[in-house]
Amino acid sequence: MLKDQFVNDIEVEFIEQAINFINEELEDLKRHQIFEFQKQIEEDREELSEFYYLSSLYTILIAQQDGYEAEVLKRNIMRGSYLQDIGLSQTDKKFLSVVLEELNEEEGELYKDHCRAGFNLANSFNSISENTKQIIYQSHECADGSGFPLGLSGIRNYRPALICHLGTELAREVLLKQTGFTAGVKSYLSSKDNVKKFPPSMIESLLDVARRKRK
Amino acid sequence: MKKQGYLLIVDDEKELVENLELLIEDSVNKISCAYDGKEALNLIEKESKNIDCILCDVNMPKMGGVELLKTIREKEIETPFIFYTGHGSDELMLEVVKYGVFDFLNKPNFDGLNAVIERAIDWKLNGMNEKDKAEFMDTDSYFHKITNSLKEL
Repeated sequence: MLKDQFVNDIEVEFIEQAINFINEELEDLKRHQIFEFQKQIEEDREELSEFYYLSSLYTILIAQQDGYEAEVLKRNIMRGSYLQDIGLSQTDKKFLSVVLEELNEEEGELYKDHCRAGFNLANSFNSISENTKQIIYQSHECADGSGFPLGLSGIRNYRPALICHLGTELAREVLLKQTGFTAGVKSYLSSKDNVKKFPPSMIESLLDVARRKRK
Repeated sequence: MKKQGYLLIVDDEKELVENLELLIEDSVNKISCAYDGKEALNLIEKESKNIDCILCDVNMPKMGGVELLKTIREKEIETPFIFYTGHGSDELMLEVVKYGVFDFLNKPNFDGLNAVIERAIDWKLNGMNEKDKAEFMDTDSYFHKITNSLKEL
């Protein structure tokens, strides 16, 4: 059950619509064979289910504000966000709770492999769109070239993957600090290093979500 | 969204191109077609400033979609490029993303076709790449602007 504090400062209609969308899509996704691999990662740990749910929710809020309004586009993005770490089911699950900077070089390269492993796994299912597969592959890329596995930047980035990355980082911030959405946005964007990972127009979309405050 | 922009469709299957034209014609002002990568490249080099979006198949004779994208990016042509793909072309799709793909569509249904193209054209016509680049250039001023925005939340 999602804690109210993570969403209760967002405009009611906007957040309820997004939650309904996520819930419907998640129910559908759980019927897909690919979800067995997601269950392997979550291992019935509620905090991980909560993390992926919140990542997807924040990702959809940003995506909608960014202009991704068509249902099929949102579906692809939601699936990519929820399944972003599915490649970890093919590597070592010890990497689930790590921070990349704390790994040595060899461990770091093994960890980064999960992006390609996730793409290859998703590619074995006809039901998963190219868009979702690319989000899974590129969910750790950044606009300034500091991401992985390819170090893309500028127009080379796949925007839905960047949105997923931003939504996930925000979810991580909110869960770590057990704070609300607006406080999480303020905290996350107070770091210049965080701000420059994403294009200015995308940061503006996030700020526009935060400006849709509950009255 | 309003009808706008100039779309180039690149595919060697003429029947498919005709079908795509019918599906898209209410969303764009002008559509041109090229039936292989080389033909597309000639057209793009002549009209790169006018073309607002390129919709392209991956596998084509003479020059495939990946090579076409790579070539135009080397010429610093930043037109939004949308690939459509059937299932299973995994190595190619892992290769192609290095050159900047705006979005993807999936054969045979092309779900979201109009939404994706409209978004790409709107993106180009609003100069969003240039706006993002310009803002990124002056990072101190940009970060100062973000900090002020956060105070207003």
